[in-house]
Amino acid sequence: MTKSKRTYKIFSWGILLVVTAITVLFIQTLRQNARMETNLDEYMPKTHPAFVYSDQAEEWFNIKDGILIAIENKKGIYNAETLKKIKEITLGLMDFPEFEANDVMSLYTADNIVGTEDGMDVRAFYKSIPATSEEFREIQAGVQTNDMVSGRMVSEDETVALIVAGMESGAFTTEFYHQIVDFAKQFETGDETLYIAGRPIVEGTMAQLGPADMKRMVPIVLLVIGLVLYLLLRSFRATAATLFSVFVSTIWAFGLMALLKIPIYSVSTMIPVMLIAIGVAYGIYYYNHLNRYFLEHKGATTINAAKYAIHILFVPLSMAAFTTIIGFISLLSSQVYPIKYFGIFTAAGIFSAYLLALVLLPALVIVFGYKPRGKKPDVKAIGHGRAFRFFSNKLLLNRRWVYGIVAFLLIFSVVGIQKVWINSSFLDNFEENSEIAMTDQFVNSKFGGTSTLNVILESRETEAFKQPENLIIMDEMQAETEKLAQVGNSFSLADYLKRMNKVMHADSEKFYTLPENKEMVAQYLLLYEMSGDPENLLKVINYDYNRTNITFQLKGDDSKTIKEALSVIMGFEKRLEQQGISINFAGSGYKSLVFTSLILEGQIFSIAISLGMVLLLLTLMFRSLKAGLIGSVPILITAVLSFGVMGILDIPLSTTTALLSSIAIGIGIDYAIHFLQYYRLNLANSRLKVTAIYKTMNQTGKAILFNAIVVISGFLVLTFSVFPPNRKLGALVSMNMFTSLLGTLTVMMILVFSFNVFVKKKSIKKKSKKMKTTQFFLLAITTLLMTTTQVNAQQTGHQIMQKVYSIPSGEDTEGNLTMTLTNNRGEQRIRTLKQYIKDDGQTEKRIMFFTAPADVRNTAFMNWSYSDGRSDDQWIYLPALKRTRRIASDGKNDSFMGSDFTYDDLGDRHPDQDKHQLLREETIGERECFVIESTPKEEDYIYSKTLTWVMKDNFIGLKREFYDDRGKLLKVLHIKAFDKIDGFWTILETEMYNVQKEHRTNMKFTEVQKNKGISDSKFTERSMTIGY
Amino acid sequence: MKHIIIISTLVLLFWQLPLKAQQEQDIEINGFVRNYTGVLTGSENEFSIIQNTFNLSFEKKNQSVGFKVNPYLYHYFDRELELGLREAYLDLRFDNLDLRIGKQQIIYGKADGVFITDVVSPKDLREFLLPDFEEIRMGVTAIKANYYFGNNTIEAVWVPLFTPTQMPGDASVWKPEMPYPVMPSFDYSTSEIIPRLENSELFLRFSSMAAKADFELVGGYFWADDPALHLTKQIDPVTMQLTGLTVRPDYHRLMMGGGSIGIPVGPIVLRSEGGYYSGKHFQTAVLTDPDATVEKDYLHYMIGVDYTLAGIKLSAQFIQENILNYEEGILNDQLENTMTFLAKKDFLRERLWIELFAYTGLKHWDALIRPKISWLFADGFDIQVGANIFTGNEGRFGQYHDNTMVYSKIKYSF
Repeated sequence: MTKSKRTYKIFSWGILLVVTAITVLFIQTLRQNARMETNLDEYMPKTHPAFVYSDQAEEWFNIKDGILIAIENKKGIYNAETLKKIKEITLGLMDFPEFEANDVMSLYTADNIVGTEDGMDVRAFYKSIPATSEEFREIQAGVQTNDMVSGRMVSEDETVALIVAGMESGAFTTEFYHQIVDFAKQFETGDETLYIAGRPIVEGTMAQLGPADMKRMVPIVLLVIGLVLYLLLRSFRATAATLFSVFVSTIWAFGLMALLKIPIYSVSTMIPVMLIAIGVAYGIYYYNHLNRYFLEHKGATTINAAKYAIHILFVPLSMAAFTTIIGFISLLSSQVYPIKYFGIFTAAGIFSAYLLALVLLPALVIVFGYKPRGKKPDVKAIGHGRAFRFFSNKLLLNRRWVYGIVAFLLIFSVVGIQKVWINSSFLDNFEENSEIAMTDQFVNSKFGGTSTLNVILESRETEAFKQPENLIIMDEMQAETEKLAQVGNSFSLADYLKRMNKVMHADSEKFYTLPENKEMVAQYLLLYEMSGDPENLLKVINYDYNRTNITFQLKGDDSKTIKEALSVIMGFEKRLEQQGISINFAGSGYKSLVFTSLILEGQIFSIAISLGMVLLLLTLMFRSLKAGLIGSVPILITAVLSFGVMGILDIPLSTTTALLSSIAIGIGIDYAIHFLQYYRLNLANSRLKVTAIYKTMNQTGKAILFNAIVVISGFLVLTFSVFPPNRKLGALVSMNMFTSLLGTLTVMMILVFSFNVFVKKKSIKKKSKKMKTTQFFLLAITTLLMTTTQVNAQQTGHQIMQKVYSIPSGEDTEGNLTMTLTNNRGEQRIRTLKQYIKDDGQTEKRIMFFTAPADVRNTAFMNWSYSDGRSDDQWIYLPALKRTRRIASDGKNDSFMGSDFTYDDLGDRHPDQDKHQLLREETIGERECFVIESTPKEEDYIYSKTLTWVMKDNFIGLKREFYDDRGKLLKVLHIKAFDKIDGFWTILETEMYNVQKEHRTNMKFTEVQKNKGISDSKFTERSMTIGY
Repeated sequence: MKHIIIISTLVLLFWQLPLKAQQEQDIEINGFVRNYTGVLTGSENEFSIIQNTFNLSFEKKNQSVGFKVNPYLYHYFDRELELGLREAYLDLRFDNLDLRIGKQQIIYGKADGVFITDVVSPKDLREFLLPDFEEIRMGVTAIKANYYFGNNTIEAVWVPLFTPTQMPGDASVWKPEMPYPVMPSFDYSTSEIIPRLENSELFLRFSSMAAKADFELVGGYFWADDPALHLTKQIDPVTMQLTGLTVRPDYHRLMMGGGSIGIPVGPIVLRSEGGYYSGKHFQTAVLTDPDATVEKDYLHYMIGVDYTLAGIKLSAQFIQENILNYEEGILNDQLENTMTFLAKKDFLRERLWIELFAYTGLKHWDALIRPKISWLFADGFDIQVGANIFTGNEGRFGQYHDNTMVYSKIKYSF
């Protein structure tokens, strides 16, 4: 072992030890500090006005979410056993430390307002269990006539009774849940069945079920990913190393959270999702390059290979990692802390994954070695890139189709996006046949509803709610809202007063109305306070009678139900305003509605920021706005499609699904950067865009494909989860990965190709200038290097024209040109000139000396054209004037010396300026040709199209037809003679025939010489004045 | 007799040399034969000119040496046969150095149709500005050295023999107005520059031709090509009337520094040329000035633009002549502004050219307008029809308002 080899080994072991040590430390921290936060209140921004108000109102009116225990007896509840159980459950619940005695309500504790001789009394329905059927009937009658109890504490069919225990939010734990369940179960004897429902249970279960399900599923996900990874990488070591680095990065992210004493929120379960996708990608890119190095360098050492892979990956990996990190950091704009934390720690995790890919993966390779993947048949096919080449060709040929499909998908998505709705429901996260959902459904069917919405009305005037006109508005509001199917019933001060009014009028239904005047209201309330439990009244009205609470029972906690109720209630806002009454809302249902919209607002804002940043970063990284815009395309498509599909499939937006868009951006950017970076490298190394595309598709495209396959297969596992949100997550992540994959390898690839991303104007010009002398025709003499490339049946028109265009010519050319102009009467004019051309890559200099006719003899014309796109410089020397003069450069469309050639025809046209289509193959004489139709991309080009016959064997254009702006054939060009001169194919005679004017120009090149080392001094004033 | 000999020599040359040249592929011979007929439209359709021209050029060049001889012959219906050498020089070429010795035309500057820094070759103004510029400029006997580096040239010209401007004869319609109240008598005693070494002229030019711009810096120490007319007045002491006037033309030394530049700005080429003359003589009417001449510095410059629009080559120039330190009484105005316009387009694949060129004096609103149609009806054959229209009554062009003419030219180049 050499010294340096040993150093590398020692260094790698060091890295391994450090990584392991940090990981162990973080695991330790996790064990000590990790804390799940299940209390949803903790998620909410405490300072948001809606939350501040709601919290206050909850305090004023002791509004709490209740745990509902429903006791069902199909024979009816009015029997000793059931009533006894109700009593016992009520008392039993009061004993729970989580409940306050005052917060437990049932038939046993309910106020029975009854009329007496001296007015009114508030009693209990029963204290001890009745002994006689008479007494049962009395209770039954009391309930039946009491709207405050019937349908609220006892179902209208008298088979179910409800015991409600309000509890502080956040007090819910699994143990407590089990205690309650155990407690209830003991009453499930005889005819009674017990149901437990209520928001705390739903919330609590969900907050725990999600992460618990994740815990169960993630190992399976990792296992599947590992398996697929192994199938693709065909290396156990590579697979293990990749999974290890994913694991380590996750531990680091969570360890850091624990270290900073940040609790794990349910949103945090998304962190490993992201880290798996990213970590696997990094691993695949790394091993892909490693493998390639081994394939290309037989017998290479692992150290060199490991170093090479890092060397080549460093730039794109850094770009991708930092863009993704910045994308996640943009989540800091959210008002919701768990989301902020999610952003920060996902960013931290990605940074870890990035560091690990740069440090740990090579260390693992050096320490444990790496066996390069053998050439398996399938790998060979991909390795040679035929599949990718075929795929690229198909796509490039059918780009209109691709654009069309994308446009269709986007339209489809935009339609879908309009259907996307936000759901803050917790219940909807449970399966319809789950116990929680079924209980809820049952309770809802029997009672007003398991969810509540509190409406708080406030007036500045004291005793405002003793005014009958205000009470009437409240009552109407309740009646109007209750008409909604999802609204069960409501409860307010008005209900008390109506009840009391009725009781005071001998229980006459006719008087189940609000008292007529303020005095009466005041008296009723006084009576109630004196006889009943004034605490109960405090749940609906304050002491000053200027703030009141109306509770609506809702049969669902979803946003649609809440919003519907809200909109009816808000319909009364104006009338209330006229009375000087303001309207506000409170309660957990309302809060989660506000909260969800906050999250989504933040999310949409953050997506906008991310997209903006991605655009900016890509633009800066690649120093090209075009690259930035095109690189953003897959991300945009992914995000739009993701939301579109959610809309179409009726998957509502929730906290988790909304965060998916961040993941879409994170993955999309990764794909785009890798693709663009390697395309840029490949383009720099090959002359042809199409070669660069093939190469990039073959290398990076493959890596991206592998990455997507691995992650998709992993996340598809989640669709088998028992917890619906995780199923949706799995499906959507898979879909997003798939969209990103397709977006990058199809649309982005085509756009990159079509819009000449990274094709420097310089290089276009440079080649075009060279081509000017080559292509067909030239004044100059064309020298075409024989291309031996086998013509692939899949070649596109563009590729062929690229080849025609790219054939290099010599550094310099000299020769004589005889141009014969013949008109339709056969009259001829002959012009001869001697010409010198030199191209140093930056500037193409050309000087022409006219030798005939006599009147222009010794006239010299010099042209310098520049590779950077500046307009040409031209000079003319007229012997009569004896002076060299700069002239304004001729328009490209002007005729060259009165011939049938325009300056443009002489070859200065880059293939990217046209769209090319391979029409057919044809034989001219004995020469097999491709026939390519080229239509200009610019609108004001002189020709509407050209058809070119390109010889298959040497890519020299043999014939070209030019069509005028009306699409009629204008000119036909023929190559009449060509030969190899000084090692270059050279066109020796060409003729342009103007079909419409029946005029032809023949150009003959003689005494052609190539690469004779023409001096720069040939292209100076001296040369022009002295002559050739 | 002399003429006959010369002509027969030329004829011999003409017949023999081409044969020889063709054999040796050596001496290049070309030239033209032309008929130029002009009719004055102002008077009774008088022919202003009937001119037959024979121009011949023998040229030979190789890597290091070369020569050119360009004899010409003008035949007029009303004048003597004129034979001359436009150019006759030897070229010596070295790596970065060229020497040209002999009679040659040397042209400076970037202005069209005006002479600003273009002061080396004197002008033949016998037909005013109407002939082709090739024929207006006369060759000077000189040694010219050009040194080249990169795209730059340094040129030094030594002209040992002074050649003045050729002015129209007394009988010519192109003779400028004489601003004298009485018929002057001429005293030619000082109008000859004796060919002496110290009387030679020197010119220096630096020129650069680069992508962004072409420019030229020129300097010269030379004789003004036009004489200053020194006047001596005879005044009757009794009547105080001007009784006689003696005009003594005299050539003076001039120093000139200037330059020119051509800059492409997108599709436009901007041109500018300017010269500063030190010690130019002007005529004055102030009686106290001796000889009625005064010596002033003088600035002459031009700004121009070239542009091609829809195939029409357009060009415009603004020219200003500015007498610095101007004094009242100088016959020339302090500022003389002139503009020129050119529009030119080809038709029939460069076989038909239509051109309009015009000079306009901005002070008197006089102009010379020169429309022209040129048809190349076969290779080398050119038929031109044109007019030279003078408008206005005074000024540089207006003074010739009677000389408006139409003309035709038939030319064969070989």
